[in-house]
Amino acid sequence: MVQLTPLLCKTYRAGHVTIRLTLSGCTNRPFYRIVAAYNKRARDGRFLEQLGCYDPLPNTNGEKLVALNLERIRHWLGSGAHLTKPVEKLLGLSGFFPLHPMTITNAERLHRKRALEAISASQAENTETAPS
Amino acid sequence: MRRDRRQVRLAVPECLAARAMLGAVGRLGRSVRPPAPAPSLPLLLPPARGRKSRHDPPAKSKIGRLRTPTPVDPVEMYLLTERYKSYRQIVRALRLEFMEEIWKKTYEEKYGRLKAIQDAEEHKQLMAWNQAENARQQALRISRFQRQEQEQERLRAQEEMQKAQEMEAFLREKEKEVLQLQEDAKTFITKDNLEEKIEAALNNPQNYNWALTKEGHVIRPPRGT
Repeated sequence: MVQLTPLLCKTYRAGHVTIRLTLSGCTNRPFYRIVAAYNKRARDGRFLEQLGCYDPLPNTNGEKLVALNLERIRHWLGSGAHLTKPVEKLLGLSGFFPLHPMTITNAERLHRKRALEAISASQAENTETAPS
Repeated sequence: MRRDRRQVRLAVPECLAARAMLGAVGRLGRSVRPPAPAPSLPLLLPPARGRKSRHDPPAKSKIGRLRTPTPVDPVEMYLLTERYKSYRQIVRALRLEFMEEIWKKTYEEKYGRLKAIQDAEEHKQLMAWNQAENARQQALRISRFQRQEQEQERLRAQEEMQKAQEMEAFLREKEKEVLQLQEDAKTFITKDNLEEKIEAALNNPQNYNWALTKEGHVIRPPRGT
């Protein structure tokens, strides 16, 4: 006898197109490709179209290079593609989108931390020089 | 065992709404979730995400673990919510713009073809009419030029005739003058005639003692004086 209820209970939920980062590269050398793919596909699996790339390791000039095919990104966004957080942040930094709130918040936190460290370092110097 | 943090596996027909809500809340991020209970009431929850699924037992080192909620700065939280609001508004507006572009393109491809064909036909007709007009104007222009050339030829011929006539008249005048001069030359006084002319003039005295009235009558002195 065939059990049909589990098959009937399972509903089919269609996936959606997502613009996300696909990891490719070698050991200790990551390299991301900005790609439009179906949501349910594997991270490095088949994609619909490559829309750019991102190199997370800085080059000899200290730059992290990002390539974006803005025309095609517009097309996919207009066709209803979702975005992942890293892609949103990259687009915000590039200027195509507004800056992501977390980018701003993390930058502020870093500033505050550095200010605190500077103050504590100066205090430590004062306490060192004062008794001597 | 799936490495998918955002999916929450529940029995399907009942909990779709709950799943959507939880999914939305999960997507909002750790810092924007509704405030957890105060630190005085820590939670004793088994971990429901990460490397292990809900069916894997927690480790022995985590038996007496009490989870305190992450500290949240209310000022930063407020700023963050405001920033997220504006960010999402802007991103939604951008997305709608891109969608409109795509709709316009599809509409253009579907129905723009007809308009393009009509425009091309109209253009062809207008071009043909223009060509006809140009040809007509060209014919008129050619005939006009021909007439003008003929006119100019006629005028030139006329002028030439007139010039020839004038030349002939001039020549005739000059010939007359020459003949007159030749005739006059007979009465000229030369070195040969000088003595004879002097003798003749002395022999025939002329009397210039006369006057003219206003009416033109000649008045001579009466004879005898």
